Amino acid sequence: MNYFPWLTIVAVLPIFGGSLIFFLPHKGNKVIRLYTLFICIIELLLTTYAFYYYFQLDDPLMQLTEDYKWIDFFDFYWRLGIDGLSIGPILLTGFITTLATLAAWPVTRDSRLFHFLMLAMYSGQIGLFSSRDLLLFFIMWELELIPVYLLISVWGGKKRLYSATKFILYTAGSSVFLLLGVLGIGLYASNEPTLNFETSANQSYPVALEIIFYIGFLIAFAVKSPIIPFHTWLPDTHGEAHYSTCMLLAGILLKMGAYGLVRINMEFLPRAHSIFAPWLMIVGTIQIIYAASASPGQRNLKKRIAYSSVSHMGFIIIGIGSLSDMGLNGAFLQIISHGFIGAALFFLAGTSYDRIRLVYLDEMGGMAVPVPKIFTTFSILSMASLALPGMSGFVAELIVFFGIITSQNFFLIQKILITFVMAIGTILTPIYSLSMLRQMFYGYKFFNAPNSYFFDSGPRELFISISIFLPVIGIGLYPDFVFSLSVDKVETLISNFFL
Amino acid sequence: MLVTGDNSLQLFLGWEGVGLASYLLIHFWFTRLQADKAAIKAMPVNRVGDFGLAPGISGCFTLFQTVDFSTIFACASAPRNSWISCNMRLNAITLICILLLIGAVGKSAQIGSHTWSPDAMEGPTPVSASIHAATMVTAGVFMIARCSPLFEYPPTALIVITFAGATTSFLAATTGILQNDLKRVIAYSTCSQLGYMIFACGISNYSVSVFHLMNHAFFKALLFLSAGSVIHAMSDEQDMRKMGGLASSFPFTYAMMLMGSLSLIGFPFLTGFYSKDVILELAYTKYTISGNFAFWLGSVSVLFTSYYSFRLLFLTFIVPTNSFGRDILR
Repeated sequence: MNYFPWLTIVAVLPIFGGSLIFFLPHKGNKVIRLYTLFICIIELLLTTYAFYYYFQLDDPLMQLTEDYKWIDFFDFYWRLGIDGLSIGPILLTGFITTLATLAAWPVTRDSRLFHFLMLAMYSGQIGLFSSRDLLLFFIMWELELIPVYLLISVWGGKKRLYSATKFILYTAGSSVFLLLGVLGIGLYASNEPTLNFETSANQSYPVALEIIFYIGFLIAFAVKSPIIPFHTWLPDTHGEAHYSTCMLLAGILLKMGAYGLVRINMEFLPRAHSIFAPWLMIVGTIQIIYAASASPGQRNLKKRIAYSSVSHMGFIIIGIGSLSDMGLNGAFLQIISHGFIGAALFFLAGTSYDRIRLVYLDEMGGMAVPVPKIFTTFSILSMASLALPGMSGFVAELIVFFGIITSQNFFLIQKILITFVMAIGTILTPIYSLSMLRQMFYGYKFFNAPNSYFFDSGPRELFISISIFLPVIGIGLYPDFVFSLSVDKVETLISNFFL
Repeated sequence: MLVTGDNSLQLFLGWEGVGLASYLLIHFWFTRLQADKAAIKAMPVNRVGDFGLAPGISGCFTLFQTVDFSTIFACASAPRNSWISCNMRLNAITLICILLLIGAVGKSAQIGSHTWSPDAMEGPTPVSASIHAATMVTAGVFMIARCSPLFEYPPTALIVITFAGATTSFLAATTGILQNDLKRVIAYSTCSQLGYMIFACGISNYSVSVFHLMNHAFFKALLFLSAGSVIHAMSDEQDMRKMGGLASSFPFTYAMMLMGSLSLIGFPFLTGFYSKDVILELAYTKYTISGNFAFWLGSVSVLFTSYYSFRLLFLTFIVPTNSFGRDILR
């Protein structure tokens, strides 16, 4: 086994490279952008190479593990490792961050800080998905907060200070619960903290304690991967952030919450999870309907897409709560799929905002004639969002459907009810997607827009849209690309539950 | 993919695909606001149908643990779950078939989900001819015919299908006689004929239903295309009351439309005769309540069908000219 510290390099390279940005010559923004893009691409290639050569797909244990003593005083280790569950999100992170950097080409103000923050977030995300130590997990979680705060408050829309403050207070407040849970698990039955994932996973806690830990972690993850009613930070944040930040937020940060739910709540606290799972399913179902009903009422384009993100995350919650093989696989696929689709929708919304400078949908109209390429890509990706068969969203939702139905832990009547309510969600989704398309693109152009003459998608934007679209179709037509990563890990996880 | 799929998942893929094609083509002229509203109405109403179809497929999956058609049809006879609710014994397979029927209702514009079909006439006429007369709207009927071994088991579902189809054919025909827009008459006529096909399935004669489907595709497409020719010649004027006396100006179109209409009303020795009359005979000879109901409603619909077909022909072609001379292009 090769002991070359791949994961450490992959996790540390972005932020290290980012800190070198400040030494770049002051010649202008192009150097900074190219440099950041270069680092992102190198990182993505390294990640792909490391995973391709050193990762065995059918080994359910952690691979590429590293273990270094970091702070000897309280036994804090730098432990990284990946398995089937984390490899998907790490690759997704690499891909989306590279595209988000490419999407941030028009940012001209303070671009050094901007690109440094993007790279810092990149590091944090990879560190989080690959961490095997609870305190490291918590540190990476917190590492995400400040860059997002700065990104929103400096480069956001009109209400950016309000949104940024709301975001950070909400998320940091929930992280307190995460810290409590981490310390609780770490300090359980020993005077020195044992924060190793494996030890904690094999540890069995008394049921009442499990439930308390579970609730603590659940609050933290409920804010991040929004589970209603803790989702209210999301429309404001997504509505005001610059679109490449939105891509990272919708694409990756939300998935961090879902990942945490699976990794910590399912692996460490299986009994509490079995107790809470039906409630998770009910909340997930309500989330789909609620967000899909709130979305058509939004005037702001980005808020409408934000509510659609909340709605799609509901499928993930249902999949996690279904306690079945297929359900969890479907949730995992939805993590990847919605990462792509959400990022793409925000990107396209942002580029059209860049041109037309209007956020309110009722002021837009008739854009299809001047910008046919944006129109085409937006329509295709909206179809992907409403889970058209042939695209990844459909497969994800379908597998979650089947997962609930084949789950042996619930009564038939409950399953039928949940299936019906989910199906109502699939009716509501086209309503807001298509009406968003209609308000933006069809009809005649309003002549009171600030810019009435604008360019269509350039090659850069087309490249980004197509490079997100291709995986969406690819996964839609051959979902085994993603399932081959997660199937064994999911089997191992679920086997814990048939007690 | 819809017709050649051998499992219900591929069928669903094709199903959504034709729904998507319909949506995209209805607002082909997307700067026209009416067209956009129509397209948006079409997609969610189709989705309401899918709201029935998707749980139907999931239900199949639960019962049979497979989505493959051949396996489902082979296992369909085994006794299945049933439960008692509201003093009625509800079989799982009844529920599944009713759900599949809801899917067909949404797609084939039956009563309950018929609202998208007249508005879908905003699309160009070739679109209407192909998608809304021949291929897409028949997807629902095709799905029922495909799953016919499954539908044989719950008699309740068959009764529901018959009632739904007969009611549609009657109600759509009555609406059609009062329409003034040329394409809308043909749209309601499509609704009505689909009702025929559905109730033919309901009385367990699936092959006759598919036969009528084929015939209908041809003569309805003919009607739509000739209507398109008329409309285009009248510089996009679709209101029948403003047309008239075109028989001498467009003799070929008139001949085509006459043949299409005669076939639609089941004139002897044209194809409509063979399929429609067979359906009505079979309904007459099926001595059940639903069969009789279907027969009477079907017969009255034939009356209305001939009324609106000839009204269409008269107002468009034969009556002295109501339109302005400058509207008529060569």
